[in-house]
Amino acid sequence: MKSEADDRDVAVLTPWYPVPHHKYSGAFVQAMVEATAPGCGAVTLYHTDGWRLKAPEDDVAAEEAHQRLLPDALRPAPTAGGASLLRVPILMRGRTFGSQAVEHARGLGWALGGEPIPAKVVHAHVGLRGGWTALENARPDARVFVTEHASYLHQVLEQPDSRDLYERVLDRCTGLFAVTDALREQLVEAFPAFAHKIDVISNPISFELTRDEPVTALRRWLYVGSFIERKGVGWVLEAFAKCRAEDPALTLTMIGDGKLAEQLEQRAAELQVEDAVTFLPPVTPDECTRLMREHDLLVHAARWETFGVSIIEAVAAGMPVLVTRCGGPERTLAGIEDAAGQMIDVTEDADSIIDGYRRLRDRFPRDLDLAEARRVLEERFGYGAVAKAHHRHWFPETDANGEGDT
Amino acid sequence: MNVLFLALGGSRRNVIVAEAEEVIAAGGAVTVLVGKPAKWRNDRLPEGADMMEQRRLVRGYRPAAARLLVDRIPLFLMRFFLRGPLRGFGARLQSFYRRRIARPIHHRLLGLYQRNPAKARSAVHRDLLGRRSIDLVVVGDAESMVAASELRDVVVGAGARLAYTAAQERPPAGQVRG
Repeated sequence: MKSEADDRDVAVLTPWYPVPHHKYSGAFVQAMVEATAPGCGAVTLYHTDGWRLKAPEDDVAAEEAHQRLLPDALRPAPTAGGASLLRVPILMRGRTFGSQAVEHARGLGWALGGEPIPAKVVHAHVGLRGGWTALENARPDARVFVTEHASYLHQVLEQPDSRDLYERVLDRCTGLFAVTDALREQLVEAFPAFAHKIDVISNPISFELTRDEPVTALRRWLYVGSFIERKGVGWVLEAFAKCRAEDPALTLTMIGDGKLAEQLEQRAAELQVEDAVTFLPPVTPDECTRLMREHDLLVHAARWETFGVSIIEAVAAGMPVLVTRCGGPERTLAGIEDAAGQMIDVTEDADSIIDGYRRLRDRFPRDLDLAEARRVLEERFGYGAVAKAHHRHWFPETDANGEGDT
Repeated sequence: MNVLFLALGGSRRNVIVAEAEEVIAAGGAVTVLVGKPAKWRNDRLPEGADMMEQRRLVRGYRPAAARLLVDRIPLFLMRFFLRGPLRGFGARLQSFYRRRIARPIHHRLLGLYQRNPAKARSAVHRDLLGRRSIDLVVVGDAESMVAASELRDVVVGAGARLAYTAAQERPPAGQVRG
């Protein structure tokens, strides 16, 4: 007979999780597990990892062999938050998100030996490969929740079979959480009949560490993100060069990767600021936090953004931010825009960034209140806040001790 | 830890390379069994990792019966009859026999050895699991599933473990931002 504690066991399903060849894949899932695991019973994480089948003539033999190997080759390993991680290879040939979701569901079924997932609460990441897989493998009395992160959601909804399957996920799941308002709006527009089931719970941000010494001057600029057009990285570099002409002590560190990487380095040389600009490849979150504590200002000039994790992380690390009104940041920083830094308009030039920097420099530090901004953001996006929001849905009638009516 | 990656299809080369790097960084040894080495031209294994071509592995394998009939008996007869003053001629004849007769015969029989899963199992058991004291056999891609399944008893019997990843054999790696 199951104890009360077993009622708080949780299964997490995800098609992404950090792996040696892609260490940033699914970092937000790892953070979510780390945030939500405390207060749960046993947490088991099923990472369904798509392995492409390339020779159709060998498909059946490979699938049969895979099923024979599963009992020996699958073993749990410890992961974030004391959870147990099972990496389940999914042999895939599907071309649409919907067909891949069906393959993920079947593949996890093989790994489970035809038995349902034991946990009564199932938290699936992304609607189809996570959500559908969860629904097809959950026990009949399980409560299945889905978190949607996908920035490519519009592509999913453009595929007829995927859209149909998504509707079935919404119909069958207990609740769906979008990590941003923008994603929720997209889903509600596509499936208005299920608007009541779709809520917003953001990804958790760590507020554990801050800087030893407060920022005293806005000289060491930092950019963290992809080197792509949408992020406005070219304008950041142009603005930096002009501001540095006024103050030669300025430096800029750009952390990331992307198709503009080479172009940015060339442009830095053309602008004769290559000695003041440092390009770094993607770094671990710990290293990112360390670098944030060694810089004075986060510059984020995206053209469009659903959330903007690095902005919140920067405030968490005690840095002011210079950020465009590009969708997500207006919502995440609502009410504390002036306390956290300076918001600027999205324009297709560097002038907006330069003007914003000058205004912020003039206001700094007397008009800012970074401690207050940090406190407010921790209440909104900290591990504790996000975990509490999920637990309210997962365990509506019990607290962490298995006691009723909380 | 000695790890053998089965990567016969080469469809997850970046995964194998990254996991091999981690194993070697942790002080382990890595052998990667591949189907076509040419596929790995742009995905170099880390220094210290051994790449072994499946075909070569089986090519080096000669069943006991074939060895007896093609190698041992003829060479024994040559050594026995061509002694004393004929020893120099005998050595040249043996060398000629090995190159021009025994090796072509084994080459002709190679197709048979490769088609026979039992022979492949023996070759893997003798040359990889035994000689290299493999602790963990990682099924590295979908194309290796069938071979891994056929080798399952040999692997388990040799005291090694089967897995889909070597990453789980140590604490999870940190995430990356940027």
